[in-house]
Amino acid sequence: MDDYGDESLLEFERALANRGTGDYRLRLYVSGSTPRSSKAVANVRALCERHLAGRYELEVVDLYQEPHRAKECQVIAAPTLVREQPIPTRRVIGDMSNEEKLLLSLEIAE
Amino acid sequence: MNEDFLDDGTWNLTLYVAGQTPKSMTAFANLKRICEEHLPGRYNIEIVDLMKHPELAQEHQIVAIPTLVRKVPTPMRKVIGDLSNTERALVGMSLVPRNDF
Repeated sequence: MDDYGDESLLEFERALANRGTGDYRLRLYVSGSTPRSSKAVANVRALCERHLAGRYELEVVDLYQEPHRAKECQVIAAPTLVREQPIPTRRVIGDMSNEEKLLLSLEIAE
Repeated sequence: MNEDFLDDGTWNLTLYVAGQTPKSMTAFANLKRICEEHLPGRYNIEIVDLMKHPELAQEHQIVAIPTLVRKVPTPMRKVIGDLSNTERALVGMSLVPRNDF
C-alpha cells in the first residue's frame, strides 16, 4: 500500500483516540463579568443546547480571575471561544452573537 | 484473477476525506466500528486525504466526501457519507450483516 494512505491513517487514529466519545469540547475565555462577557456566555450556551445537546462540554474561563490561563490557548482577545475537540482546534473572537457564522467557524451542523 | 486479491479474504478499504473534520472523523469512527464488528481481523483501512493529495480525487473518481471505497474484494464498491447509517453502509459495501443468512 502506498505511503500516503498510512500516514493519514495514523493521524486519524490519533485524533480518534483523543476524541473520546465524539463530544465537542469548547472553552470560552471572557474578561470579567461585563455585559459583553455575559452576552457571549449566553450566546454560546444557547448555541450548544440548540445544536450540540448531549454531546458537548463547555468551560468558561474568566481571565480576570485566572489571568494565567490566557497562555494555555494563547488567548489575546476576549471573548474568545476555542473548540478543543474535535481537532483541529478552531477559535472565534467576538461577542458570539452571529450564530450562523459561529456554526460555520466551529464546523457544527454541516 | 485480480492480483490484489488476498486469499485470506482480507478486505481492503479506502476512506477518502478532505482534511480532519467532524464528518471525516465520524466516517472513520463508524468505519472502524463496522469493520471490527463484521470483519474482525480481516480488514485493512487506508485513509486518503484529498487535501494533501488532490490529484487522487480524479484518479480514483471521487466526487463527494467522505467516500468509502472497497477495493478488495472486487468488484469495487463505493459508499458516500459518514457511514452513520450502519445498515446502508453494510449494503453499500456488500457486507451482509452477521445475523443475516
